[in-house]
Amino acid sequence: MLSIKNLKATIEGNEILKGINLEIKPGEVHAIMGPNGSGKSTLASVLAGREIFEVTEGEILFNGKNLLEMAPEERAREGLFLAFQYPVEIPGVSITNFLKAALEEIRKHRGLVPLKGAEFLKYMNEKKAMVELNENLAGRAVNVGFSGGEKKKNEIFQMAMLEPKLSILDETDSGLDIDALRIVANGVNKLKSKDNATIVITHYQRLLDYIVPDVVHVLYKGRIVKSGGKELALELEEKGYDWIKKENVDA
Amino acid sequence: MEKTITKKDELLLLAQSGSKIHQPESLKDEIKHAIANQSIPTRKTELWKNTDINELLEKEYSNATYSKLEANDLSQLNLLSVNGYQLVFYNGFFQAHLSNTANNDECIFGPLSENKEERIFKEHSGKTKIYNESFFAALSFSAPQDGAFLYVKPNKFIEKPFHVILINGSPEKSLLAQLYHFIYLEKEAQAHLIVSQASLHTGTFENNSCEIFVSENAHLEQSNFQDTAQKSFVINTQKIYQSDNTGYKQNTFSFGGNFIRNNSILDMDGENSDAKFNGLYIPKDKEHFDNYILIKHIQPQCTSNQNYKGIMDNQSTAVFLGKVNVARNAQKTNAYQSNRNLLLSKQAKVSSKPQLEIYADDVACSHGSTTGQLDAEAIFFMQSRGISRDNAIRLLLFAFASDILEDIQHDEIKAYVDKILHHRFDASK
Ligand SMILES: Nc1ncnc2c1ncn2[C@@H]1O[C@H](COP(=O)(O)OP(=O)(O)OP(=O)(O)O)[C@@H](O)[C@H]1O
Ligand SMILES: [Mg+2]
Repeated sequence: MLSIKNLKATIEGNEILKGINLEIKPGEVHAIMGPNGSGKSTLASVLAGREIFEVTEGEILFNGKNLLEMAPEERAREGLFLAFQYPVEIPGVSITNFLKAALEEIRKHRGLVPLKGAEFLKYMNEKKAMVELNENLAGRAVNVGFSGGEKKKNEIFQMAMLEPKLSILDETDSGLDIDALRIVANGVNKLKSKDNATIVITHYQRLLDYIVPDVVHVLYKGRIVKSGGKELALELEEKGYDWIKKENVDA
Repeated sequence: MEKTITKKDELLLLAQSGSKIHQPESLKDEIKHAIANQSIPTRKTELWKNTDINELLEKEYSNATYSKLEANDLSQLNLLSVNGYQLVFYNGFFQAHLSNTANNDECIFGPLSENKEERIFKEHSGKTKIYNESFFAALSFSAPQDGAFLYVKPNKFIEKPFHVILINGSPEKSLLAQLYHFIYLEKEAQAHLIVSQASLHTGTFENNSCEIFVSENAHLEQSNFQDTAQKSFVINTQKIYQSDNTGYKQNTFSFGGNFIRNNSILDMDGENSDAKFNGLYIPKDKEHFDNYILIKHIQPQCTSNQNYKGIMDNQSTAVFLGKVNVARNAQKTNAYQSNRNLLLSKQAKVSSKPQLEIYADDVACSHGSTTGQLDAEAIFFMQSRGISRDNAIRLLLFAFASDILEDIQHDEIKAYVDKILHHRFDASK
């Protein structure tokens, strides 16, 4: 589904990603962990097509297509979804109008007619229930005045609405209370199928108890320096990153 | 030897020779004074610091002559169409065949040149001393060709709007069009005035003055739509007088025009009154849109609210100059002013000056001004959900204007503004 080869990316001349290789197949869950500032969000942003990062080398194939040639909206329409570490506030644009526009364009891309008003509301209500999103949040402007946890929940709600093939969750667990964490994780699990895949970026093993990864990667200084099974997450939780850093002093 | 005549004299002579409306005799001396004491504003004139009228003054103007406006030409302008009374003027000349006047037991609505209520006009015209507001106001007031006359009788609530349509432009010459409008609502009356300004050809200087009287317990709503041509100049000066327990609301939409200057001066001279000014200006290319608002809180317990928003493209310029003056006697005044601007291009420029002058102590006043660009993070966020960049920008522009759009009470007007904005926001990317 996703194939990243030797990906290098810079911002304002600083190289942040220094040769990433990653293969993800349908149905898989990959966790990416790593110290602050190691480039996890940068990788997510490059995948989503944020223009402030310049890709200097490497290639990304998404379902066989060259991802780097696509505009961010095309990537989304092809089925890529990023749950932002810091969701953006959009004053004056209601969640309903926002998602209506998004779903319409995604459905159009997939050759589907737009949902009619009532159908759309019904669909939205189903998804709201799935992530237990507070009724009155949906009527408000996107993320404006939302609590940290509400913003994260809202990201998963959008994911549920847009039914992506590949979801990248960038620290969706941070800021969530214990109940919200369970709800969000349940939502992600309900959306999982053998045809779609998930990348979970997190600092905490706790989330991985709910969303069980097939592979855990450690990203450090712009490279994936270690990959392993779900035990790797437990090991990191216990020992921290020092041993990884020592193994990679020259990196 | 030929005597050189100044631009001021030239405009005055021209206006006087084209004028067909006589202001009340009793004002003669005051008008003379006003004209003698005020000169054409320059960049040194306090209220015109950011307004360049050189281009306006360079032109040689001549008087318009009557020319019939064809219904086809009017309809091709795609103006707001509402089911109501209507007065159409073309370069200051009344177009009877396109108009729908009123003279009944509720109201009188017609051109000043045919006005049937001499008494009201004589008693009140000039009462706001609008001619002292600027040279242009004095020019327009003292020597108009014609204008709208609206009189709403006591206790009458007129549901149909009164639509004044001002078309300017000439295929050959630069014309001077001068209009004075007189609006009078008697006690407990209620009405909606709509003023649409547009151009058929380029090259007219349209100079309007307007006096509005809102008597006790009366309510007036005014909606202005401005979409004039690339080479026209428009100056509108209006002075509004509010008595006790009145409401006045003005929505001004400036969609297009080479140069538009709106001056609104409000005397809140009655207690318990409410005034609201909404403005949305969206200049493009090299257009210049200018709004000057002065609200004078003279009596206690009134509320005024100014909310102006600008979306500026290309090399356009705009000025917002909003003043609130709270007199010593005007206790329990609430006054709010807000001006926000969104610059879509690096070359666009706006000068924003909300100002409060407060001489009373028991008041609640606030003012604010912001100027910014489109939020790149928000655009990316929307794109990452599959929304095209163009659509994302359009959503943000509508969001920016949303509080002004939501404050439009009439469905027809809402739909009309929506259509124009859709058209514009699609083009401005
Ligand atoms: N917009 C930016 N401008 C300059 N530097 C940036 C920008 N975005 C990221 N960086 C830098 O790139 C590096 C990687 O940042 P990134 O956000 O990808 O880290 P991360 O692994 O997601 O960290 P965290 O765990 O704290 O979220 C950091 O050193 C950061 O300062
Ligand atoms: Mg991060």
